[in-house]
Amino acid sequence: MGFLQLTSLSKRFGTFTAVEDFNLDIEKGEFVSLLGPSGCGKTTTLQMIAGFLEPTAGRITVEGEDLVAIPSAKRNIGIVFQSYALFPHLTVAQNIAFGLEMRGITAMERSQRIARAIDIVHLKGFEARFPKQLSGGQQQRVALARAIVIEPRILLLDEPMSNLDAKLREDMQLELRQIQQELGITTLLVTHDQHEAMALSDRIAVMQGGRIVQIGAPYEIYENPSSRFVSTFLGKSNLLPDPAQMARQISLRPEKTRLVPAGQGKLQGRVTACIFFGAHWLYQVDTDHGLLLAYEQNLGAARARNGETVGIDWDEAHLRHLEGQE
Amino acid sequence: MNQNGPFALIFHALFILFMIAPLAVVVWVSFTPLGYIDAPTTDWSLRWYREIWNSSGFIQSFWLSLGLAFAAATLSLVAAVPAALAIARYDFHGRGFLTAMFLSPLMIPSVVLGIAFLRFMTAISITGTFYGMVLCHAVFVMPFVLRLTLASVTGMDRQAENAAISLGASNMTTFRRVTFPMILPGMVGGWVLAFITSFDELTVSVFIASPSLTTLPVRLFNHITQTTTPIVASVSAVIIFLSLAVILILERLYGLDRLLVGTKR
Amino acid sequence: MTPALYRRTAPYWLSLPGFVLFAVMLFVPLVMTLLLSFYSFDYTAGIQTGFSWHNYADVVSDDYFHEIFWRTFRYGLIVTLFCIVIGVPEAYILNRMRAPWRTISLVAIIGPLLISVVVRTLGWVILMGNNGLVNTGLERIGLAKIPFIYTETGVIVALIHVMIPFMIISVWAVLQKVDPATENAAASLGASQPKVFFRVVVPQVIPGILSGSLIVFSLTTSAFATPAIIGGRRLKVASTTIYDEFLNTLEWPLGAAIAIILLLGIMAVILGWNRLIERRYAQVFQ
Repeated sequence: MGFLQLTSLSKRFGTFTAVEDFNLDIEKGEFVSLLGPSGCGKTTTLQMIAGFLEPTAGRITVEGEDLVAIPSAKRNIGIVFQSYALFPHLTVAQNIAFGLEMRGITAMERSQRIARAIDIVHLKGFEARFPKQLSGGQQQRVALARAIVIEPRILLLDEPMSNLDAKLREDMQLELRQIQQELGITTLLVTHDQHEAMALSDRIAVMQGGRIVQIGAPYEIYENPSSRFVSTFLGKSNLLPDPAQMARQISLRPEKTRLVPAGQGKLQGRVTACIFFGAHWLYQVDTDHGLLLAYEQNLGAARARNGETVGIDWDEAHLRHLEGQE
Repeated sequence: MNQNGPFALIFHALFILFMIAPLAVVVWVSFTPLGYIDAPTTDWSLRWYREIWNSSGFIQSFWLSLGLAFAAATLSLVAAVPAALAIARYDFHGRGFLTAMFLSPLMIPSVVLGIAFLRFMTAISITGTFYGMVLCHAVFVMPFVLRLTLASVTGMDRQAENAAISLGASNMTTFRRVTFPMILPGMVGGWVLAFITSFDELTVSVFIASPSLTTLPVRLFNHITQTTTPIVASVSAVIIFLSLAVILILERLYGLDRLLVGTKR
Repeated sequence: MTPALYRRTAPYWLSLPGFVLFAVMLFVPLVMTLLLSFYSFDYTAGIQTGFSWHNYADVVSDDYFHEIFWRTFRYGLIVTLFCIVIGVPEAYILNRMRAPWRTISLVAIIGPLLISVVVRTLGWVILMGNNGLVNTGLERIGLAKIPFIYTETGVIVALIHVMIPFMIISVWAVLQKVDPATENAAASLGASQPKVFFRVVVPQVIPGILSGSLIVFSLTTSAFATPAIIGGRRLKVASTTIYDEFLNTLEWPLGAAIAIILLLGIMAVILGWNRLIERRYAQVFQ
């Protein structure tokens, strides 16, 4: 039985169903991501766990204890908000102290725990600063410290990196993963960023239209997307018709293809774009099955030019049969 | 490209001169030693400042205006803060009407407000009372308080409240420790603006003032319409100095543009 | 109280203090003033209650009042026009200034808003009055005095001084949202500086000009201190007339009728103007 269990969870706003029959089990210490486009219900799910929204139906339990009956102030859940939601009138140390004060923890223990939290997020020397005096990355560290210092049962991360620039985001992801594993804290991340979800999670739950459409370890989902939606939302995918069943499609990852001389390979086409990405080349090839993408590792100069006719080849083992149209 | 040319700078300098000149001459003339309006060049004197001290009327009016502005701005704030919370946070029947009502004194000519207050106060026999004047002033400074308070309530990150709750704070604690401090700057800004508006106000006060309760602008106005002795200049100069002090403090604390224009830099 | 009921009624409880204040101190007085305008006045008997349109008939039929209302309206138009012509370029210049000049200029331009109108008008009396600094100086060097006090020009100049900060504020607020790159774009396409200003900047700040104009017009037509001090009894406007009816001749009902006409006139302009702005600009500037 899972540590955090969401059972048949639903949320309706009037006639609109945001989350429907949502089931998820999270093990203690596990890092799970809810990944999906905006409006897929992932934030609504997070808010129900946090207690800011009441589920229309279903159960949320932690170690078997029903969470829905507990007011959010008593749930002992740490949250890192998208906007960080730092208290602008309080210093870094006071922000982190807030949750401890609410728990009536003595000043002595408080200062020890604050010092430890500040140490964990590498913010030594910033204790007396106000949020306005910090950079975006530093603000995010404060938000994280404030959430973990209360030693919450669960840590919820609501698009925590979306306000950071790309370079900083990568660094923070590494750090966040380390902190999470060190503390062994059960974590649920809500994000629309596939890279973030893959980099951080033990498991990813891909959401669409208020439901989980696929759940599993990042590699597992990436390699075996169950539907067209998953195959295109998580990474890029070439969609080919399934010769066995007309209504179905086959997914072929661009990096699993090879460019071969014209006349060879399984498909023929004309190169319409050739883009250099550093680590690899991207070719766009116009074939009978539409525009296909092919990645080639950067082992030398471009293998084909615009307008050139080439063949595309792949191993049958890399083809993935998708369920249904979507 | 995005720099002012010489022509623009000359225009700007002339405009600043136009804005400053009438105020500068008031201050200049206030230092004359003579008994009539004159700009001192060699002989400077504080005679007309001593004169303010000797004429108890102006001093009395100054304290009255100060007390009135303080009470009216405070009363207005007390009414405006909960109203701003209601307007910003709830979608309820009559919300648009309430907002329009609280802002309506901006649209009604002051002279109409003045006679309406006079008519009402005469009818219930509260003319010439300090409390009556406070109520009247509280009404027409309300838009200033409400606008700034409303802006700070709507502008505040509501996630901060959720954050406080998730950290274990009760609703009351959340308001006291998070919401209130976060909207405090807007409240203070609105209060100060209301205070100044009330302190400076002439048109409404001219109707509701009585001989024993004459606000400073009204006394000054009555003086100016009768004679123009340099004492009006020295009183005005004092008002300018005080206003300037407030202006500089506001600029330091909030930025005048944020307070009056409502935009961020 | 259940949480649901609490949530439903909370906004009403919260706005109750303000509502009561306004109902008692604004709504009731305004209705009483409206009623007052239908009463009649007799020099021996005082104010007589009743209902009659004769105060309105007096105002509508008398050339004396026509002239007063026409002057009030004319001031509003001329002052608004000058505030646009001077205020728009000035807001533009101000927006392009750098610190610390920007702050200094801002204090000089917007600061006076926080200084009593009486004081600001007195400045004009001291500067331009018959015995003011300019005219005394002119007299000393043997030149003719410039008439200012008790002239319409004088009232208008002083009113522009009082009102123009509002125009600058409105235009500036909009200017802050204008992407400065649009000017560079226009210049890169070959537009001269004046062309950039008139073809690219001004069209983008029209909403600010419109709202500024509305504020300036309604405040000018209801202005009291400046027309009273500089215009005096000879150049009466609506508000100074109301003042005289109430505090000198004590003809309250007539004064109330003039006030109601002024109020309705200004309301009509505000509502009509808003309608115009909404129709013309609502879709473009959201």
